[in-house]
Amino acid sequence: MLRAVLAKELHKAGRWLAVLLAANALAATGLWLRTRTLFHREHAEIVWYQVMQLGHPFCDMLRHLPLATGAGLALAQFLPEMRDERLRLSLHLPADSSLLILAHLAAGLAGLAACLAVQAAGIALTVRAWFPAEMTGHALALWTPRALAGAAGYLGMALVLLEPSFLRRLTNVCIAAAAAGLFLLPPQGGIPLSLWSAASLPLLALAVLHPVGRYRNRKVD
Amino acid sequence: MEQEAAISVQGLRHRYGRRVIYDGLDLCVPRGRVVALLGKNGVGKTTLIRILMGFLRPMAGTCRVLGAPSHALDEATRRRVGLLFEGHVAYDFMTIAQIERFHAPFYPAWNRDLYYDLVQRLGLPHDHVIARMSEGQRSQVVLGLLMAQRPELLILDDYSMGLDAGYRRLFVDMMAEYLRDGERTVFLTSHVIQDMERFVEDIVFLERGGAARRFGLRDFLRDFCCYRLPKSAGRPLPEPGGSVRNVEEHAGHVEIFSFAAPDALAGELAARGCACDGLERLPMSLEDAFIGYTGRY
Repeated sequence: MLRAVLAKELHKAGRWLAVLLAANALAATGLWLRTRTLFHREHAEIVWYQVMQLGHPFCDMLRHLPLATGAGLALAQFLPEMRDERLRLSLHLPADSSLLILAHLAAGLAGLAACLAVQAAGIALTVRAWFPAEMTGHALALWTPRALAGAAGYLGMALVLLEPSFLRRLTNVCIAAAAAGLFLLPPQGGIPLSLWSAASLPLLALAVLHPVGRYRNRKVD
Repeated sequence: MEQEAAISVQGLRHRYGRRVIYDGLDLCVPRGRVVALLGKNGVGKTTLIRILMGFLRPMAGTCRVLGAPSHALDEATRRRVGLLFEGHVAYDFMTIAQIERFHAPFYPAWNRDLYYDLVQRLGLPHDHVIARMSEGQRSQVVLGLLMAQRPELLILDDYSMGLDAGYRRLFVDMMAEYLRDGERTVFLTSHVIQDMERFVEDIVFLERGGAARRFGLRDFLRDFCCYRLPKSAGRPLPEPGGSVRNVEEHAGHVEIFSFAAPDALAGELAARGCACDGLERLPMSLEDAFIGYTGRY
């Protein structure tokens, strides 16, 4: 089942995934070029002081890209399923419906992971080129909550798109925005809020099963 | 009886807001029969199909498909039921070959030869994307997928939608060939009535409010009659009621639709004060009979 669903999702959203991968690669290249310009304009000591001592995030241009990537990927995956109610084709397949939907989510999250890997590689290469090697872990730690916001954006958008009722869809928009927003809040000292928020992601994935069940069992068209 | 039925509907109630669609609908589709659901627009054909397909939960009553509740079909039952959605819905981003590879692993009895026998008639390469096909070509792909699945029960929602006469004939002929072994059950709707004579065995008329009446197609065509009665001054027009199912008024005559034989009808009309001079029986197609039974509007 998993292989069939993965292949289907690749046929459906493969082009959009390629576009998103290219966009992420472009953004990563932009980060590298922008950092190079920064070091040409300022003394390296000043830039290092600002980034390493004052904590100014040098990769802030990627702040919302994971979220946009996640939401875009969910749109590419689930809009075609809801057009003409094609989701019925999958839900009638003789397989466990929950596992089937989770397989769809796994396919999407794998695509998102590929996009995020491109971003992470761009950040790591940029840091390696202009900062001390010890800075790599710090930069990726700063970027991780934003990557998690991408996963929340993906799952939240899936939650919205798969809901058959308009009013509940609006509610799901709020839930999705709140879930993604948790990862974009600045750290409040101690353990970053995003680490606690990460626990919400599996719950959000399971929550996606709820609108699918409602889609199947609705009493009104 | 329940064991024998491919589809069993008992006491089905459903409504949209205040509009009652069914108020205690009972219906039985025996195994091995090809049954068409007929009725005017708005009587609830699509709602019933959606309930049977498991994508709408009935508000009350039971609706069983191959013995299982239609809104909660288990995997084993879903494997035995083939669905054709209105508009020949398919994953049209796939190619002819890709969609076959997607469906095949889910069905142990999958017969890819049946699929390719059908789609090769289209003369298209296997890497042709379904979204670039005509409605007729897509209908053949969808039918091929259903046949390869080899289901015991097929539920076809308006299979003729968007098809020209040629593709409708091809669809019906392929379906008739597929059903030749007589072990499969088909429950279908279509807006094109005349094609049904080629392969349908029973018809179910669904009426507003949810009454359903089933006939054998041949029996219905034999027993349901259209009579032409010339109009004449001073003669009252017959009204529906008794054995008169429906009356259609035309410029110089009326058409009376009834299950009664000519003599019985003439006697009944005479008793109601309608003289029956010139009453004659007219030949009817299934479409004529459908309109005569349900009324034009």
